[in-house]
Amino acid sequence: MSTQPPQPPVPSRLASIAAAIDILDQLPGGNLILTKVEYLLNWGRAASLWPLTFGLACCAIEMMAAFAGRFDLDRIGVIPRATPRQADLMIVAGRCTIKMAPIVRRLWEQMPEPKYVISMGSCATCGGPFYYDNYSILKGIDQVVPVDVYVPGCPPRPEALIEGILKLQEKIKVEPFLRRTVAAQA
Amino acid sequence: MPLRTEQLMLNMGPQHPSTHGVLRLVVTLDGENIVEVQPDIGYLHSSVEKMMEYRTYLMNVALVDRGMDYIAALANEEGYLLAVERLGGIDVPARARWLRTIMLEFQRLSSHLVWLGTWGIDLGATTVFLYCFREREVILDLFEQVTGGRLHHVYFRPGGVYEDLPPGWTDRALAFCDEFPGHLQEYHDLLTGNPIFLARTQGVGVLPKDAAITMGACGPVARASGINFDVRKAFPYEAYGEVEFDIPTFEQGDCFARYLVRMEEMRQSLRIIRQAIEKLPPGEIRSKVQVTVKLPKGEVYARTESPRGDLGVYLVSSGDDMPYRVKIRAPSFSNLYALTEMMRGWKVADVIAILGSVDIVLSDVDR
Amino acid sequence: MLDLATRAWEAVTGLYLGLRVTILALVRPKNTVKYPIEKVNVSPRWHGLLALPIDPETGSDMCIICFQCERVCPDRCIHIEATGRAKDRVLTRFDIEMDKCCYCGLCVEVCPTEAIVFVPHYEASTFNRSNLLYDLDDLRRATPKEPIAHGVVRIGGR
Ligand code: SF4
Ligand code: SF4
Ligand code: SF4
Repeated sequence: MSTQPPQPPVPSRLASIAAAIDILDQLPGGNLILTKVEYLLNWGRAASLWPLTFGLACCAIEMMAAFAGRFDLDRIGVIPRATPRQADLMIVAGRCTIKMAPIVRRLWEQMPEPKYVISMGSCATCGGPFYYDNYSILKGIDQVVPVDVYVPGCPPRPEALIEGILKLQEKIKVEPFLRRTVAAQA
Repeated sequence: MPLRTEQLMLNMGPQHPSTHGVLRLVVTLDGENIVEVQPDIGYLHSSVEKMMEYRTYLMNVALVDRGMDYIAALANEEGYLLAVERLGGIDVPARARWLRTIMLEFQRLSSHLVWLGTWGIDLGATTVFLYCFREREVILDLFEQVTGGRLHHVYFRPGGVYEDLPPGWTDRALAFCDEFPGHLQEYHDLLTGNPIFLARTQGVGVLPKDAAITMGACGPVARASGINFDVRKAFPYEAYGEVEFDIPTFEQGDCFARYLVRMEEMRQSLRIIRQAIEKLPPGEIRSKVQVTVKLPKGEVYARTESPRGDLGVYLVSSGDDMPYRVKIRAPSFSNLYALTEMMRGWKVADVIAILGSVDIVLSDVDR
Repeated sequence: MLDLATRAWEAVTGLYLGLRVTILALVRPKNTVKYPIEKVNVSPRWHGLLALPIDPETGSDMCIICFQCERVCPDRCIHIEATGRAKDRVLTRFDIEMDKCCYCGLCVEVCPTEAIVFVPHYEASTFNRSNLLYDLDDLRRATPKEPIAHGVVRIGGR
């Protein structure tokens, strides 16, 4: 296997999609179509955010409460997945130790693009109650993964978490999703 | 010629939906049988013992809530404050003692409900989770009306409690006590009679009595193995000496017995709450203690019965307004040790059932 | 054979009991709160965000700049600075790092004038962490119409 000569690069599917989008963007009226398609795609993505069930500490209990009957995150299309390969949202619920940080990073890397991160609670946001005099807690999860929405609270109420997810949905809905693939190819 | 098999090392966690937090289990398998289990802990080590040395006694109340067993925050406050009060000779007014008892028992209920719900998910009974959290929300609402927090309360203070009950709270609490046995029966209907549940739990993960003593198991795990020991009865603290309750004990030592112990404990908690609300004396809720209280030089060990077992706090004071050293003897930690004994020889599919039945909280293990 | 029959019977009864619970839950009143549309009534003691209520008489907050809250905060997330002396002392800086705060309520407890209170407001998620540093203006703006949490240490029963 290793003796085979390197293959010439095959144009990836992403590149061909990007080229098609680029052409469509140039056509008269294509811009409008593109925006509409983008809107539809974004609506679909925002309405079915699948988070990774990934609890670190106390905030995870409130996250569980948000998935349970009273607050019922399934209502807004947030259905927990057990594996990062199927998830597109990571809710970092709780304090992250330095020992745990590489694992969080690897889980994030295993998630397919586009992916989002919600930092839930004071600890995930900046270390919170464990900021000072502490040698083991990471001072904010944004040191290892990029965070989209910060939810303050210790722990945040389940409603606060839902509000954070709604906020993330707003962000997703206005994302230039298709045009970004063009930009990624350029 | 005998078939030669190789032992397989399986790595479970730290991110695993069923390991109840961030526990890593290194399981050595022979075929499907477990040869050995080694828990790898420390993924949630929050160095709370060290942090407590830099905070005053009052501030630490906020810290022990979070740094220790977070599902039962009030039980941590109780363990810590018992040590502070014993060392400082601070006396707690009678009403505060009874209020603490009520709150601690509600905390036990909510903690056991979290355990039952998550264990149900582990065993494939997702419905139980929804029912358990439905009842837990009622308890959390009751908590919120008194303490202002859902999970972390910071309600107990050195020498009493922060605030008195709001008007009408006892009626709501009693109404909950009246309807909760019906819900308990629902859980029994859902699980106890279910043949799948029985097949997965009955006779699985047996911890014999002598092994339980050797491994230092405590709390419901020990009681399921036939050790009739409860700190609330053996060394009564707060108002536990003045209420009547039984300690459920089972001899089998399997997952099912541990389940039954906790189910029965919930019933006993209701009994304690009812008696405590009835006997709740009027009067002060807090004795005068300075914000920066200084404890005399010395050391003390206080043990309490948290929902997970025997919680001990060893406190050394150097006469300052901060502790010199705090050592927490966490119940989950010793139960996790007993887990290695329980799992040996079982099938790999039983790992989750056994792990869930022990009810460990990783924050309590690692601190 | 008999054994098999008993086991089958147990399975049927177990299934019946379990399904009865779920079917009965169907006709029970729902307990789901459709959050963005309807909201749970949080208790008046709920530890939400912190605020400095405005005194209607003076038009300013009630802080007497005693630094008690700054000293008691276990997370050291309150930062107070003041200029002037005696009566003319004015706050120049009152920052609370809401991302570091653990909502424990110790600052509310020790404040002698109930100048710092909890508001039953918890929706503060942001895209940017620096928005969670609440300065004096933010804290005053967060104020409800009337104080809802009790700050003064009350000793003695109701
Ligand atoms: S923010 Fe508070 S509740 Fe959440 S993990 Fe940290 S200490 Fe626990
Ligand atoms: S609530 Fe607690 S952590 Fe937050 S500012 Fe007040 S004292 Fe500090
Ligand atoms: S304790 Fe109250 S009065 Fe004193 S500085 Fe803080 S907010 Fe102001």
